[in-house]
Amino acid sequence: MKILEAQSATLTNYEVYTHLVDQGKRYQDIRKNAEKDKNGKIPENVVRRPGNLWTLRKELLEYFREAPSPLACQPIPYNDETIRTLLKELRRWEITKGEVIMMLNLRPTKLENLNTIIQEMEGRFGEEDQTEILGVITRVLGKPDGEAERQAMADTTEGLKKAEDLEAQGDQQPQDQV
Amino acid sequence: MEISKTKIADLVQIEPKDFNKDSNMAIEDNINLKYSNKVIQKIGLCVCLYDLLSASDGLIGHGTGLINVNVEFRMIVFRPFKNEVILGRISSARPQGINSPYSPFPSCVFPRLKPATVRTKFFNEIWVPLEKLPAGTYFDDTAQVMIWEPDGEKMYFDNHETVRFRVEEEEWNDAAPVGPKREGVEVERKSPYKLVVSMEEPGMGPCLWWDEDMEGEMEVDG
Repeated sequence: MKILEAQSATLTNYEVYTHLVDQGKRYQDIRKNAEKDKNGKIPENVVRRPGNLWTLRKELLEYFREAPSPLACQPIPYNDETIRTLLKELRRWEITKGEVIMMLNLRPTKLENLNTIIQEMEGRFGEEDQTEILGVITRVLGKPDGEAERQAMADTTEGLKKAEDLEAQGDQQPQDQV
Repeated sequence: MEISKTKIADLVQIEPKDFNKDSNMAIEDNINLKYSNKVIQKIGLCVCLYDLLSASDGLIGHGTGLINVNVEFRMIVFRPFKNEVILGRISSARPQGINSPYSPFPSCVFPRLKPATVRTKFFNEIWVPLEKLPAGTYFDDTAQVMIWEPDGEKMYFDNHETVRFRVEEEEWNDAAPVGPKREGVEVERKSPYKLVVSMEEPGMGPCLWWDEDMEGEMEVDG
């Protein structure tokens, strides 16, 4: 193995998400179009992908689809033009690439949230500019349904807690028997 | 979370049993099998093949029947940059800090007592030390959680809570084998890639604290 270039480009969550979804479709097509061998079976090695890839794919997709990630909204608020449009609209201000990536990944809708993303925001932008930047984000990236999003977050947390409690109970039972 | 593309050159060996596969697919599987869900030191956590840039003619080696192909490809790699803000969940807490949620390494089994750890769904090795939580935060022994008390009101860093945090440092540990086991010598297993993050600024920590629509006038109309 030889690393030719450590970082040839950066991707946003949305781009990785699309890559994974396309990959999934491609793998499905292979399964569908697989030819049977002489025993009338589809050869396993043709349709099976490595397990380590499968694990990470699943976890990463779940991560992307969990509120408050913008990709958790249905339908997904972004399309192939979104990134270009956002860059164009933000050209008026000096905003770094990293900051744009975070805007796309986190979709801030409040000044407090924008403040965590843009370094030294108060020194760099006046109040009016800050509100305008937020306006651009809302216009291009859309606005989440706040109530539904918080509900989704709370639900996931609850679900995980319950699962953990059940697990803990399961752990204890064998001990009691001993 | 920032993800980048890394360009790599490598030798792929295709076994005879895979000759019935489409060659592109055979190469892709080989690369993913070797890299996916693994950490390369100072590069990051490999996700999967992004695209294949070039592949040499396949050459059959002596004696093995393996087809050797030299390839150049781009890999999707998870490696957040310093100061990046990302989302995760609290997985547990110990007196020294919080373990963050979700990650790609085999989830480390921590003993019941933990500092505050955070993880992302696919990446577990995220650590928030106590000094990187808001000032005045303390560890509650009974509930085993971190509590922040800004104005006499208790704010809990509950387990499984969705949190926002800022990447401060990364830590790399080469996980090369250390030789045969010897009695009496405990080999500490360190995770190959770890993030140290903070949640002390306003807007950080549990999303539910900050995302409430308290004031209508703050809303920006598009």
